[in-house]
Amino acid sequence: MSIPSLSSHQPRRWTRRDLLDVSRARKAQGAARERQERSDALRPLTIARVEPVIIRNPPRPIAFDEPLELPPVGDLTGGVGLWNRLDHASPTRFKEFEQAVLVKITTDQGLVGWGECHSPSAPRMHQRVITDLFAPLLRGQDARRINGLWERLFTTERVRGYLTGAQFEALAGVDLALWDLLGKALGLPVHQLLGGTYRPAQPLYRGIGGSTTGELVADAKAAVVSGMHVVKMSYRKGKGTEDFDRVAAVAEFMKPHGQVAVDSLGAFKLYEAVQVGRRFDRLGNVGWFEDALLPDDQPAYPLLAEALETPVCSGEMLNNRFQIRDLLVSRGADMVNPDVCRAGGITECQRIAALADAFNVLWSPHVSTGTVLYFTASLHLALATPNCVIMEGGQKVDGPLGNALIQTPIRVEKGTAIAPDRPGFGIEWNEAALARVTVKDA
Amino acid sequence: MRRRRFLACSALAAGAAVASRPCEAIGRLEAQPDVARALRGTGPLTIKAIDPIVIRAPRDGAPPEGPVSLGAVGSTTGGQGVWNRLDHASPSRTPGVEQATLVKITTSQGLIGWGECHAPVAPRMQSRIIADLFRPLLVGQDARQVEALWQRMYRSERVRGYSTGAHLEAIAGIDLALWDLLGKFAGVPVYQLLGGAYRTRIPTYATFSGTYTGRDQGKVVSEQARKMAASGFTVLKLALRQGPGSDELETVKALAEALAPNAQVAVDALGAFTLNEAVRMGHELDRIGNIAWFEDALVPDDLPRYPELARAVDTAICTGEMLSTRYQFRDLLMQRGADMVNPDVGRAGGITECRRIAWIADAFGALWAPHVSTGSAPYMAASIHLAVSSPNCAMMEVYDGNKQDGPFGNALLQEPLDMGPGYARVPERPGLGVNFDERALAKVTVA
Repeated sequence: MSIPSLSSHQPRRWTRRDLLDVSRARKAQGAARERQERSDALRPLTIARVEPVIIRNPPRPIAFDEPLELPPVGDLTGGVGLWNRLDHASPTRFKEFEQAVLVKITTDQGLVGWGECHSPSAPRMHQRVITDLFAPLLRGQDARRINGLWERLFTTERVRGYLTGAQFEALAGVDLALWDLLGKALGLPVHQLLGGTYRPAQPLYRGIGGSTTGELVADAKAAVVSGMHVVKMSYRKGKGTEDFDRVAAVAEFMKPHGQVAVDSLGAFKLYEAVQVGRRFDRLGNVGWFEDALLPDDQPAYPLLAEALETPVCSGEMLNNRFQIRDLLVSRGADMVNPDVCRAGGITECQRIAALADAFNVLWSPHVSTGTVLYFTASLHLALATPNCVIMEGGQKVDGPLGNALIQTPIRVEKGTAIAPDRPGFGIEWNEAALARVTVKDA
Repeated sequence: MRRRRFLACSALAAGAAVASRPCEAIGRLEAQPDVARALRGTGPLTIKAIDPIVIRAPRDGAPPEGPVSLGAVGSTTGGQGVWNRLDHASPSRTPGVEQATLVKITTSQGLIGWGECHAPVAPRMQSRIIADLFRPLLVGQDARQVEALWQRMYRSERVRGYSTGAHLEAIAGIDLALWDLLGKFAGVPVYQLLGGAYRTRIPTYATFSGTYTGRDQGKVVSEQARKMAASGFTVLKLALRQGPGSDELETVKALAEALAPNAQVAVDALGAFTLNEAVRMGHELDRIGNIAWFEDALVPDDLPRYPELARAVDTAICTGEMLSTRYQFRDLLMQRGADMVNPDVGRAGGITECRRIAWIADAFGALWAPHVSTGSAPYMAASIHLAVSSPNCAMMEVYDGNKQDGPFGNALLQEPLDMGPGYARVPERPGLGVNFDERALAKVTVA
């Protein structure tokens, strides 16, 4: 459209329509200018620095290996008879502390993107993967080539078989930072880059705790009051303990509201899981039975899923689309819960969600210990996928590594999370708060 | 004391037809009074310190994170037509240097065990895992509980899904050191602890590293391979990562014909192919004949398709160096996806795990051959100990000819490993039989 000049010397009568045209044209011009600015932002985003930042809360100085805990050699599961066997599944814990590795990528124009690796126990492992293996290969590259860079980092050790573990958590952290950078460069939220949102807000659930049945039910009640319809509790013991009664009590309480999900963190053998799962079937409102088996026992999942009515869920222990493919091809899960900060980041989890969708399987982001960035990145992907049903981490924003670390809080209302419309993930650190939980000289 | 020493010496001498001066080895150990006490006592053998040591040769002025190189984003395979697609398999390299992460475990009695992680790129990853995660879980434990400590390490991150990669390489390094300690503690070589040797020498095959393009280079490789076959190797392994009509395939063909009937050619694709490509290449190899095996045709994440390849191709299918833990091998073998497996003792979880892998392979009637790539003596020796004590071990790899001639080989040792063309002899000294020359070791230590 050509714009009629208002300063023309030719006498002319201005109609209302002309004025509207002018106004429209100016808007269009403004939009064009904005587009031009954006395409300016689309110049190469050359990576200048890749820095892992170790986060710990409470921020007490302590040696990295000091508070690491694992049950003693030969510890047993503690059930009765056959149920009292060698514990094969209790992992290391980092007592009293919550830890994470943030990844800060700076371009030579000074634009900064942030990502996060899930790294609860020994975060300097992830730091080392990033400083020694990934950073040298990323420096000087164009940060916009997320696909190519993801592939590049994956290929570093693919044929050496590095398909899981800290390698993938480190890859996830870098991937998130690249998506954050791209969003910031384009002035768009990441969920928009992923194709836009399916829903205005993402339903959340959270884990409940308590040492007695009463405490557990009270915590479930608090979750329901906050607007949630699903809570998750741990169940790792077999016959001869009171644990099942606790699940039954919470299930009973949740009946009018929704479901209780049960997480076993790999505690069971197949026959144990079938026996336990049948009891969940009878309760009727167990939302899902999560990680009944070890990741090494993945070929047994189809047998479990076939035996049970309760939906079988696994995925937080898996790290890439290939593992999830094998699980889904064998119909081993009704729902998968990959972790965005473990299973290769947004890039890989987007593919995992699409793969699950191709099998008509739901997915749910696993969100464990870490910062509000982890929660928010998961939220962006959750909202942009059709088959995401619910997301973990319902209390994340309230914790010490939650909204306390950022300038504009992530909104959680009535048990749902609302994605920020700010560029990238929409995380703007409160520098002072972040500095307090940053481990210096790590 | 004297009687015990006599017994130890005679036991070693009896167990070994060609013991390399076993009594001297024991004598040297007993020269350390603390160690002698450990040998006499019944333990516990308490772990006092675990030190990961990164070695690099030649030791250049590179920063501690070392050099890393990789093809550019979007690199393609370089074949013709559909054979020219995105390269999905060329890994990172550290050009011009060899690297490894050694593990030194010291007990409170002063006994020292040495292990090694296969760590060709970014070896400080493995050393960090050992220092931050495994050291605190192992210090104070009884080193003799090798099985239980393996389980302890594996369990640390098991439900977080850490089943491959540097994590298992770090476990492998510690596991090797624990076996070395146990052997020294018992005063016998590790193969004896594994149930004894089927043979004192294991046949070795020679791998030519890297790819080669251009006919001249192919000729050079063929010349060398022929010389090595003449010197005693019965299998020569070449890279084959390019499609039909490539110089690589021509080189393989020419060499296979030249070596028949006295020696065979094995080919290694290092995950270069898709299934369809692999089947077509497999048929080419079938036609050539005299191919010992077709190795790592697919990437490890494509493991479920190995059975299709194995059914389609007559040439023996081998994979395993890219796998870690018995679980991956179980899945492969259950589906009859390999005729032979080649786990790496310094990667797949050490002697403890590779022994189980060998047993699983045996239960499926599959052969195995230790993958041995760049690295130093504990890695080499551990592979030999396990190989000689395993019924289904076919042969062992040696990389670029005899690595014992290289900077990580006998140059670092007080007593050389006996490895010649086509064979490796199992050391008869206690433990893995690796005694480092600490001064030589210090010269290649970088972190």
